[in-house]
Amino acid sequence: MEKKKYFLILQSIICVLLAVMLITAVLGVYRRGMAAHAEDPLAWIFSREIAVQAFRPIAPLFFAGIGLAAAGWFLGVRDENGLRPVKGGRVENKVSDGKKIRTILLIAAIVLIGAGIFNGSARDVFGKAIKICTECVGLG
Amino acid sequence: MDNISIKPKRLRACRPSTRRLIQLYSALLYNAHLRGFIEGEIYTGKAKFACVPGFNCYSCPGAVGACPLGALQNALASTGHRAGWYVLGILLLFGTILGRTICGWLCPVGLIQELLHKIPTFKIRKSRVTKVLSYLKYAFLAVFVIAIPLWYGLAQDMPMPGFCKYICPAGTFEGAIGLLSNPGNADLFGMLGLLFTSKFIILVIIVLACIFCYRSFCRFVCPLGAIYGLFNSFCLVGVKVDTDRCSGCGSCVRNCGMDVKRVGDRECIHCAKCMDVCPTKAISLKAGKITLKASEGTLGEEEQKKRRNAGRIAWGAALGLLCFALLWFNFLDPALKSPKQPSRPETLHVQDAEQTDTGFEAGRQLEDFTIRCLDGSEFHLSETRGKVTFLNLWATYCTPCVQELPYFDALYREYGEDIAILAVHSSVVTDDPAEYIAGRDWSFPFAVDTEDDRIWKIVNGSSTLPQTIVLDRNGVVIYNQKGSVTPAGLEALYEKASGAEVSAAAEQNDAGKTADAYRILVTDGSGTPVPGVTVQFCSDTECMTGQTDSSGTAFFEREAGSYTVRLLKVPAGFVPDDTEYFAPEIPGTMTVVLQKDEDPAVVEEP
Repeated sequence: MEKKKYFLILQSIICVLLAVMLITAVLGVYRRGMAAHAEDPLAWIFSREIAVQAFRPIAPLFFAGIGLAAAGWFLGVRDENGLRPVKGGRVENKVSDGKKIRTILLIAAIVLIGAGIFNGSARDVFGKAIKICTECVGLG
Repeated sequence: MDNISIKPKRLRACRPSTRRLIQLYSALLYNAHLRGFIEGEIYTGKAKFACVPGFNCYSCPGAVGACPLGALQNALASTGHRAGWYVLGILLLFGTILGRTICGWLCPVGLIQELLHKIPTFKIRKSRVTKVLSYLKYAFLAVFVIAIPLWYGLAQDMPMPGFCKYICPAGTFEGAIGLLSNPGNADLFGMLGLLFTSKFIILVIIVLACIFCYRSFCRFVCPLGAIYGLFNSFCLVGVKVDTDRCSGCGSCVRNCGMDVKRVGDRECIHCAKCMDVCPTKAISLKAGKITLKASEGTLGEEEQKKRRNAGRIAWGAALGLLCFALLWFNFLDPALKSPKQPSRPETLHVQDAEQTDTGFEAGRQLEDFTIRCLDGSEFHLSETRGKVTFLNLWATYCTPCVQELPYFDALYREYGEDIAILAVHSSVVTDDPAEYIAGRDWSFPFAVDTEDDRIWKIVNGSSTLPQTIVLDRNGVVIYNQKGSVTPAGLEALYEKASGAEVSAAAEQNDAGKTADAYRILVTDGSGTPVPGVTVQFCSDTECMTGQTDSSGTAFFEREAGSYTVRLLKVPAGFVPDDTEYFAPEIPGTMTVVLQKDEDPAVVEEP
């Protein structure tokens, strides 16, 4: 039982450590990049090379974590605690057919979609989906 | 520690469940544009008129449909112009038919969360705290999805999808990292800053939370789940309880990983796991009156046989659809672009530098064009010679685009006749650009690209907005970069463009000789240009220094002669190189290969 406990402790520590290292790495790159950016407004804060360099030290731990996770999964190691039933009393499961409201909403949905195609809001969806703005996906 | 077990898996136990197969299937179907991952370009076909039911960023290179949550935010941001009936109708349709069955069966983010939770670590059980936290997603819905887009849309006439911009981990993972991981998109790194840093940290925190706590994002953050949850009690497809059989023991609720109070409430994702623990076999997955999945032993032999056959037919049809989708979105769709042109400058050899000078990359002459502006005038690129020219690609529905336009206006007002600016709106028009700019006191010309995207093709515009192109006084590109610019950046670009020309003009006037450009292109071992290298360029009597731009090139306007080149400062990750190189006597491009790690630098003499 102890071995199993150590396995879970080790995997938990690796996961937390990886997260901390990733956050530290990205903050470090940003801090150094901003210093260069302050001197030259056209200087890049991030670049592929800088990113590779920053994340390289984390790679061994990352792959160790993946290896351990795969081994744990294959051996069936798991903490049942998360899936153990919680305490609780009896439950009344209400049943509502909702056929009427469903029909009304379905008709409303079809009418709205039709109206949207005519008023141009369908084209809004299309425009936004094929010309992405860099901020919207977190690029900057 | 009695709850920890080690049980080596049998092959049968490793077989994925039907739900897992459907999750994988839908993730693949939503992202059927597989060539997008190879080319680093998003899909731009008509299928993007439709929203997919699950949470899948439309900026993912593989995405073939729009994200309903992103579309909803943009619809709310456009409320001042038109009501977003279409998105509301789509959400109503998905919600009424499927409810949160989408979360349990058809959401790629749900699949990722469940796989993360399989990592064997200590797990956090659901409790009163998690139940309280489950209300948090309604706060995210109210603030980031509804209030922020509405506020910006109505008060400032600016599209601002708050959740996409500040929180969405799917956007960061599928969109940003999906695009950045392609070698062809190295230039996208140039726009990364605070926003990316903060969103990356949010992504890491959410991933960590999902490892330790079952479906953390889905339970505590996801606004789309909050919306679909409102339809859960009456949606067509979902788990239903046979009240005649139900003993009310509560086993279903106690064994559920979500924060449900009863089967089918707003938190229930209809995963149907509760069917396995129900002692009275009262729970089944239904679509109206049709039973999709029932507990073992509740159906007769004949019925089971029928259902197996129906299942096989359904899987066959689904696989046929997937094959067709893969074929269509990767090979047959007319919207598919031809293989991407290189966005990076190829090395110019001295002997052919004179002939290959038209292009969109830094150091090349931009192809001439004429376009009719919104004010009725015509913009001829050739007429801007002698001025520093800024071209900006934008759209009314692009937040950073409309945020940076005032910076261009300020620059135009400051430098007056010395610069030319043209803002070209994408050919995909949702709001009338003329109407949009009418209320604003912007003094530079605007145009809308032609139907065949002529300007976009000339400057190598992409599906990522905004983009800025700067030309020097000779019409040579000195900057061509996606992403927003700052006032300081624009000022620096102006100085760079005009400074180089002043230097060249001084040379010409000085000796009456023809000045030409030495281009020092710095690349790494794989041929990728390296920006930010400080280059010193010396003759016998004087030295100049310059920095390689985003295309990895530093320019030195000098006549033919004997020069030496040194790399004074290299970015982190490269070996400092103090070698003194000799430039060729004829102006042209000289490539310096900068080595990573311990390898020595070598020079390719043209």
